[in-house]
Parts: sequence; C-alpha cells; structure tokens
Amino acid sequence: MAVLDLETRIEHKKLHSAFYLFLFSMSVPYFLMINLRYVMIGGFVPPLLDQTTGAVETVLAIASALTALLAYRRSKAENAAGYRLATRFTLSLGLVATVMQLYELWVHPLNPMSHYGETFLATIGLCVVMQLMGLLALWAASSRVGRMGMTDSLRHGYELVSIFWIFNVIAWVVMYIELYFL
Amino acid sequence: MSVARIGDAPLPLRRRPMAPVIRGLLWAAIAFVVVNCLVSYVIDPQYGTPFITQPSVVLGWVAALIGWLLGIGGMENILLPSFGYQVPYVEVPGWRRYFAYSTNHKVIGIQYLVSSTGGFFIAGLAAMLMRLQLWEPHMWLFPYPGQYIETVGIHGTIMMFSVGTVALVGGLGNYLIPMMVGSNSSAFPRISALSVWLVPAGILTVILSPLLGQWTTGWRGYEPLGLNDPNGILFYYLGVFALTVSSLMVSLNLTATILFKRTKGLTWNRLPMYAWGILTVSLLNIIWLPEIDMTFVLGLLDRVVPLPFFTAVGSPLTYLEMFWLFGHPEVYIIVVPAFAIWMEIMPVMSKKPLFAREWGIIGLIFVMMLSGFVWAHHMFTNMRLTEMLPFSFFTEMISIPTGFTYMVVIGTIWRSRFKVTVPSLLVLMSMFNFLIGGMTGVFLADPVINLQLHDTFFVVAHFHFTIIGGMVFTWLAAMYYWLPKFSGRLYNPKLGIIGAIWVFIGFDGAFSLMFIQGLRGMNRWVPVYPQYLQGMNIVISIFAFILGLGFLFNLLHIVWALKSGKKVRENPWEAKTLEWSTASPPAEESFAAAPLVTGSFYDYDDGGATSLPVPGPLPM
Repeated sequence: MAVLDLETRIEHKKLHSAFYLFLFSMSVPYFLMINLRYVMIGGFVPPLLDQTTGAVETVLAIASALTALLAYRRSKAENAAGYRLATRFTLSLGLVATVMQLYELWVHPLNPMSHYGETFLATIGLCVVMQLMGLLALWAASSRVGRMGMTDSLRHGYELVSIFWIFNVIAWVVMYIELYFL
Repeated sequence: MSVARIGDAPLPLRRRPMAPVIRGLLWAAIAFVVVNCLVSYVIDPQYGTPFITQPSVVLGWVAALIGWLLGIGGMENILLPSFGYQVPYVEVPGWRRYFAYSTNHKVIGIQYLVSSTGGFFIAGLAAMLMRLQLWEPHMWLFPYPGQYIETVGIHGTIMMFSVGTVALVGGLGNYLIPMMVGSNSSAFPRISALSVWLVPAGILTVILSPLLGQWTTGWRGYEPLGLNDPNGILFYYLGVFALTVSSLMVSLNLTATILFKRTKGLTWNRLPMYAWGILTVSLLNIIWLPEIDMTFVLGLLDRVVPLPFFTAVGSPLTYLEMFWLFGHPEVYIIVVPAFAIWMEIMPVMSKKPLFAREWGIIGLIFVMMLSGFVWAHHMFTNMRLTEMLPFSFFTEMISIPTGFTYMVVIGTIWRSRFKVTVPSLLVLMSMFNFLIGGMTGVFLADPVINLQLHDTFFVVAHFHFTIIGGMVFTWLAAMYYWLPKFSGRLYNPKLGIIGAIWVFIGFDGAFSLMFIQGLRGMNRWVPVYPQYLQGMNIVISIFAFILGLGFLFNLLHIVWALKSGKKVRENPWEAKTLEWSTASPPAEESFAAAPLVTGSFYDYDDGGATSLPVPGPLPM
C-alpha cells in the first residue's frame, strides 16, 4: 500500500466528507416516508407485508453490506482483485435482494381504495430505486477496476461506491423494522 | 481544439459527429418514442390505444431525460469513464462550449444564467398574457378559465424553480464561488457540468405540459386538486423534478467547494458574504429539495398507479403540508443569496468596512434555521386557531434575523463615501422592495389578517415584492456589478440608471396597486372579476407591460455591454474579494498559483488604496 502524503490524505478525507453530505441529503426521503406513514396510517402493518420474505431480503442485504465493507477494506489496501471479487459478491447478493423487493411490489394488488394509503409500497419503491442506483454504481466500479486497475487516484471512487451501498442497506434495515414490525 | 484524456498517451483529435445539443435532442426523442411504444404497445393491456398513456408518458419522459443527458455529453464524460472506458475529453472551443458539456465552472455558470434568463422571459411572457386577460373583467383572451389558470401555473413554476432557485445559486454561484474561495475549479465539476442541462429540460417539460391537458393547481401542484384535471400535471411534476434535482446537485457541489476548496488563509472569519449566503442556501437545498422531490413522486404515483395518498380515501391535506414544508424555505432559498449580494456590493460602493459582519452572518444562518418553522402560515385557512400561534410567532420572528442584513448594509453606508452606481442603486431598490414585502409579510403572519386576505391580490403583491423585488432586482444589480468580471467591459451608466428606474417604476407601480386591489376584493386564480375592479386592473396591466419592457431593455443593455461596452481596467470597483484578483474575463485557469489570503476582504480602513489583500508571489 502506497503511503500517502498528508495533503493527499486530507484531500481524500474532504472528498469523503462531501460524499457524506450527499448521503445526508439522500436520507431525507426516508425520514419523510416514515413520517408520512404515521400521518396516514399510524402504526398499521398491512397484512400483505410478509415478514419472512422481508427477513430473507434483509439477511441478503446485510450480507451484501458485509461484502461491501470487505470491498472497502480491499480498496484501502489497493487490492484490485480483492475489491473486484468482494464487489461482485455485493452485486450478486444485492441484486437478489432488490429483485425480491421488486417481486413484492409486482404481486401486490395496487388498491386505489385502500384506507391505509399504501405508503409501504412507495417506501419499498424508494428503497428499490436507491438500490438500483447502487447496483449500477457497483457494476460500474467492478468494470472500472477491471479495466483501469486500482490506483491511488481511483480508489476513492471505489470506496464511495461501497459506502453508498452500505448506506442503502442501513436504510433498508431501518425501513424493514419500521414497515414490517412497528 | 485542446484535447485531454484519462490515461497517459494523448489521443488524436476527434470531432464530434453532431452538435451536443442536437444529439441530446435526438437521443431524447428516440428514447421517448421507444419507451413509450414499449409501455403502450407491449405492457399496457390496451395495446397502443391510446398511444400515449399516463405510465407510458412518465416512463418515456424518464428515458428521454436520460437520453438528453447522455447525448449532451454524459455518455463520453460520465457513463463510459465510470465503467473504465478511456474516452478522450474534447474541449469544445469558442462559443460552442456554451452548448456542450463542460467542466469549467465559469462556462457552467453562464450556461445556468442563460437558461435562467430564458426561463425568466418565458414566464414573463406568461405574466403579460395574464395581465392582458385581466384588462377586461370577462373572458376574452383565453377561451376558458382553465387555460388562464394554467398560464398562471406555468408562470409561477418556471419563475420559482428555474429562475428564483437557480439564477443566484446555479448561475452566479457556479461562476463566482470557486474564484471567491481561491480555487480553479469547483469540488465536483462533473456534477454541475451535467446538472446544468437539467434546467432547459425542466423548463421545456413545463412549457409542454398543456400538450397533456390543462392543470389548474398553480405552481404548488396541489393534490387532490390536480386529480380533477387532465394530465398536464404530470409534466409539472416531472419538469419540476428535473429542475429541483439540478439545484440539489449544484448545492452539493457548491457546499463541498466552500467547505473543502478554500485556499490557504481563507478562514471562516474571512469567507466572503456571498459564499456564506451560498453555503446557507445550499444547506437549505440539501435538506428540502429531496423532501419536495419525494412529495412530487408521491403525487405522480397518486395519479399514475393510482395510489390513494392524497385522495379522499387517503389524507388530502398531507400534500399541502408536505409542499409547504419545502415551500416556505424555498422563499429563503431565493432571497438569502440576494441578502448576501447586498452585503457584497455595498461595502465596495461605500469604501467602508462591512458593518457588523458577524451579525450579517448570524442573520443568514438564523433565517436558514427559522425558515423551517414558518411554513404552516400558508395553511391558516386549514388549521385550528391553537395550531396557528407558533407558526404566526416564528413568521414574525424571522423578520429579526432578516433585519440584521438591513442593519449591516445601512451601517456600512452610514457616513461613508457611498457611490451611487447602477449596482448600488439596484441594491437600494431591492432593499426597499423587500422591506415592503417583508412588512406586509408580518401583517400576513397574523391569522386574523391572513384569513381575510388569503388568496387575494394582496398576497400576490406581497410575495412578488419579496421575490422579484428582493431577488430579481438583486440579480440585475449583480449582473451589472460583475459585468466587468464577465467581459472586461462596463455598462453604459446612463442606460443602466434608466434601466434601473424603468423597472422600479414598472414594478412598484404594478405591485403596490395590487395591495390595494387585494384589499378591494380582487381574488387570485380568477380571470373574471366584478366590474368595479376593472379600472385599477387596467392601470396594473399598463405598469406590468412597462415592467416587462424594462426587463427586456436591461437584458439588451447587458448583452450589448458584454460585447461592446467600454473596456475597463481589471478591477474597476477596487473590490477586494478574490474573484477580482483574476483577469477580466478570467483565463481558463483563474489562478496561476493558489492565492494566499492574509486579511479581510471588507477592510477599507486604507481608504481603498490597496486593491487586494493577497500579497506574496502570486499573480493577484
């Protein structure tokens, strides 16, 4: 691992800090949906929300977050092959979890007369959209590291992709607990 | 034509086969047709009858937007490099660079300004049509009332989301902030390079909304009101979504630029006031724009799926609450940069240190914070009396930090060698106008008065005094002030003064009469009205046309001055902020070496003798 000079390390920390601003901004819709749900339906948990399916999705998502964390560490160590492998695992696990969420949306009878506002559908949809963006980023990072390798100037982009995926998983876990149980 | 690339070896020059804007439009059209056909012929059970359905037009628009962004340059500069393909970055030369993807923050700033100006005049034209209709008390210009109300909606939407939110942040912010903090680029130039192209897409979408049918909700897009209309509201949601995402991307970029790209010696104590203004407004954007974007998505789902969020089955008032949760901070998103520009221009024109600078900063920050506590005063007609009190209180309280800005500016002018120039005159006009808007806002914060004046022209006058009076006049002031920076040329002082007085007379004539008209019973959102109101409506319309022509006059004057104005020395105002230490117009790289800041930008104790606070070996 190359030893970075102080100035470069500071620049990298700044880049990461700026990215956390983006994540903060992206957390706002989740807060909105949590509040909207309580405004519209209180603590009602729709019977069509299957906790078991949700649990499988959540386990897959958590596993993908762990592999994303591993990818993040591989990136820090400038290990291109390790990063690529871990990211591919993240991509696969995340893809299955997202497809399962999409399945939940697809099979749900979209009921315009539901008194419960169907806010959970929009919330799951929000998670799906964010995860699709995350999957695209993971795919791009995996391809990029294969073509361009791991250099000091490139690795921060890879790290941010992993962080974004971990953010998505944390958001999903919170939403799972909130929507399916509380 | 210069060429740079990712990688080591230079690549041979390669011309684009097509102008980026043309290619973007073409790709957008193809993407729309393909996705629309896919949805309406393959997925929709009606198999293409009708050809355009609600889901098909929404998904087609999303595809078109992606096609537009990729076609304009996102393909070679963002998408392919993200996947590791090494694509040469071709810097388009000359004037064509303003119609292409560019990571140069000055080019992006001008692209934003041009888009905003275009939006301003399109929305202004809509306003002229409205005033023409109101010349007579009966329907005569528009065939039916819905068209009039739709015109009001298009006017308000484009003004708020492509002008108010954009011009001083995306436009001047992108151009000036990196230079003001002593950097050659913004923190994330690619983000702004792409986000700027969302603005014309958003404006065009809103303009095209009548193709899908009328929408009568105004710029707020109220649900469930929108559900009563045909489908024009779809393009309202989508267009505004594009515009607000653009503003969000810019805010992230500018916040990161101010936080992390400051040059050495530029401590928080020395940060220029405009940078403080952009920082506070960007934080507002970062919080509230995702909130309203999510609300618009829910509004879209309400109609397209449909899901019953805001119908009688769901919770009809919730949309209003979610909208105004963003809607009032939006007002401060618009005027906070204007406040900051007042505090930027006036010490330069007074040649006196900025009075109580810290209080000016505290004012900006508290306006930012309190702006989230006042939103429900827009909904007094829907609330219990007990719920009104805190919102009424905070609405009145926000005038205190706003007043700090006045204190700073007046204290700066006080006993100074104040010079009346076109920028300083426009700032004074802006302050006067905003004072009227602010004071009438205190009246409207009182529930008793609010319930009487709700949805009358009094309210229309109030918010125009704050937004046009506060922001647009300041935008003009800023354009005249930084014109020598943009072009190395100066405006014609006589024409500038004429232009300023022209718009002031037009504006104050039209909108001050609207206060009276509102008190006399003239309601908003209605193209017909009682006969006794006609006389004053005619006078208002005449002033409005004068105002419209005045803005056109100023535009032509500024364009003329940019090209043919008198050449002036590098820093004609003897201002001290860092952007003035660069060449005028700035070179491709604003600073040959990173500047070092050693003192305040507002220190005129030397009588303005030294033009810059940046000594050392740097080309300041």
